Amino acid sequence: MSKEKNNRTLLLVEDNEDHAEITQFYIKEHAADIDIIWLNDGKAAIDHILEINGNGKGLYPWLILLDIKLPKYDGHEVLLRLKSNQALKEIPVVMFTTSNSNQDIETALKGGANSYIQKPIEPDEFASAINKIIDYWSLNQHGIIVDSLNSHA
Amino acid sequence: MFKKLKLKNRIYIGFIIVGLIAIGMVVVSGIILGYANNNFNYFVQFSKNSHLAVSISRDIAEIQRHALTYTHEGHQSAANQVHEIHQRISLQIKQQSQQDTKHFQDIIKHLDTYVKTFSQLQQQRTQQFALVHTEIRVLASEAESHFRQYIEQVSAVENNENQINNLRILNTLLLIEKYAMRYFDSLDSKDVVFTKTAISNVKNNLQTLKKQTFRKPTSEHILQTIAYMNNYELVFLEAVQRTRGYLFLINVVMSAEAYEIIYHSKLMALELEQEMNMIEQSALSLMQRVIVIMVWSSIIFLFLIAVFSILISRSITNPIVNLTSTFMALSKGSHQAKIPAYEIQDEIGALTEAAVVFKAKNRQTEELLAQSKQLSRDLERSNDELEQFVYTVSHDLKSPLVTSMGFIGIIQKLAAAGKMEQAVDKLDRVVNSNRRMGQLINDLLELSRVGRIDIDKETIDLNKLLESFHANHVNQLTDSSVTMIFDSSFPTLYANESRILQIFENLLGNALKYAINPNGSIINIGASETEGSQLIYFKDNGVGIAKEYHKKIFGLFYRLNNEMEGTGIGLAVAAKVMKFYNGSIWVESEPNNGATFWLKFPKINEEEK
Repeated sequence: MSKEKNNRTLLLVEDNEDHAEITQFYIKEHAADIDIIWLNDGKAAIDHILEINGNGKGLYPWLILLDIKLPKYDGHEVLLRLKSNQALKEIPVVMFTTSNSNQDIETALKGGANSYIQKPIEPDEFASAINKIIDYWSLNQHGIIVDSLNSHA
Repeated sequence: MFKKLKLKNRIYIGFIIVGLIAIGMVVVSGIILGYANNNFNYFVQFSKNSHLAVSISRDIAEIQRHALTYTHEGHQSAANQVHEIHQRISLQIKQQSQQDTKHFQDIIKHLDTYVKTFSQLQQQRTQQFALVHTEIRVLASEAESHFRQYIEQVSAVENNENQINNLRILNTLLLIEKYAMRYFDSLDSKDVVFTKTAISNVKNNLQTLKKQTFRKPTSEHILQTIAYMNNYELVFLEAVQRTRGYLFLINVVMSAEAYEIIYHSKLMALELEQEMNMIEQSALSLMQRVIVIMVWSSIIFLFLIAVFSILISRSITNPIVNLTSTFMALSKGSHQAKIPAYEIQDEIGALTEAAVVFKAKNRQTEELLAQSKQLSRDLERSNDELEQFVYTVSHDLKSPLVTSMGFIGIIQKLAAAGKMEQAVDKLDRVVNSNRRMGQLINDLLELSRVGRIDIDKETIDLNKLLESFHANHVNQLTDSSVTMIFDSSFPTLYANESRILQIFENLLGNALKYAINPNGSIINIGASETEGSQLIYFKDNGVGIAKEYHKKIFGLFYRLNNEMEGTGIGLAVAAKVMKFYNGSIWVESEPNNGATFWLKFPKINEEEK
């Protein structure tokens, strides 16, 4: 169990430095064992994922927290590139953004986002949102991700 | 040929032309019938002459008959008939002898001769009548009475033989008168011979008796009888002579004249018949010609009427047909419908003008519709932009709020855990976040003002403006090792000066942030011109901008690099300002090859200021 937990690497794609720091703070507070990789634009995120997955390494992030408003590739484009790639489409992607526009929600869910969470303004709510995301994906990791990844391997 | 005429006049002229053609037809028919009538008159004249010739022949036969009757019978009424018929013929010929005078003259000449001869005959016959019925009878009875006296004288002395001889002589004497009378009745020349023989017999017997007688008184009667017989013979011969004379006249002279007249009238009738035949022939051929001419002239006139009718009705209907299709097109809303040219001021002219107005209205409607479509498109775009704006604003304004509240939460947690120093450190983040939110709000306010202050336009000498712009930033440029070069002189713009200055500030700010070239930054500013537009460019020699961001960088709050300061609002303001001036802003750039920002201002007429 602990071994699996040590393998959890969360990819945080967030252009706002402050938001990234706040998010990381609350993640660490809830689950200190999660490794966090923070990238501040969409293109860097895609490049990173392709890099760890490629060259026979076959590595995946455990979870991706993806902002929408990003330099270079925005969140929707990152999502599209992930979900249209057979090797990468099973990686759970949680949209984590300040936007609450219906258009963004619709685009993200149609694009295959596993969840869409609006960044709460209240600090308590922010913490509990992070906690829920971590808890939910900690429980579901075996059933969904590993099996399907193994089947591809 | 009718196209210059008004519609009404065209119709009138159509009727007039058809009427004139009809009159032409009547005139031609009249002329032709006149010819035929002339021929008919000739024919009638000839016919009358021919008739006259025939009637002359008949009359001559009658006149001859009457003349013969008179000659033989001696009836005065027959002679009167001859003169009467002569007068009638002369009158008829005089009345009707305009033509063919030669024949008529001949006829009259012969007729006159005939009548003159008849007059001679009458004379002869009257004299003969007197001789025969008066002198001969007197002489005969004298001779008879003297001879009877002689017989009485000698009856006593004479023997029977001599008495019988004397009675035989008396009988012969009586026979002489009988023969003579028979001749004048029958005109048989045998009777003349008998008469002459009888006379010479009597005379011979009387001479014999004269020689035999001795007694003076007796011989006196014989001598008287001989004297009377001699006289009788002379008178008889004269009467015979006269009878033969008038018989010659009637049988030879008058017959010849009558034949002459009949010959001439027959000749005339023959000639007339020939001429009439010729006239009949010519009349027949004329009739055929007339029929041909009538048929052809009718065909030609009808053809002319048809041609004119078609021409005129075409000249009336064609413009109407054209206008109808024009109006059909116009009624479907076309503003490109072809309107046929029509210069004349009549009903069709008025319709044509109406079509022109209709077309103009259609065009106007079309333009209004296009404008309205453009307006709704603009409005739609405006709505989209507004939605985008609200979305962006809400996102970007919420972002520092999330930051600030997030750090406040962290500070609370750190404080509760007694990590006061760390908590205090985070306070700066809250301050920065709030400051940034204030800046955003100010920028948004600025953006919302675009269009408000820009109404204050003035003529800007861009040369002066850029000179002072350069002077104001000379320290900044020196610090960043940036060289600013003006490539050309600049035009005069009609705009708000502080706004134009703001655009250049933003462009320079971006260049200093994103386009620093380690080998020496150069900024070129220049101007060029196209038809209708003034172009200003602002060129750097920095890393350039990838093509995919060429449009995005003009969006609200869009930043190529979040690590740099700024709210991402400068180029959005510039774009909005340029749009307000009916101009535009765009960038041309290749990665690692600098970027050129173009400002396009429409050329402004002096009047529009």
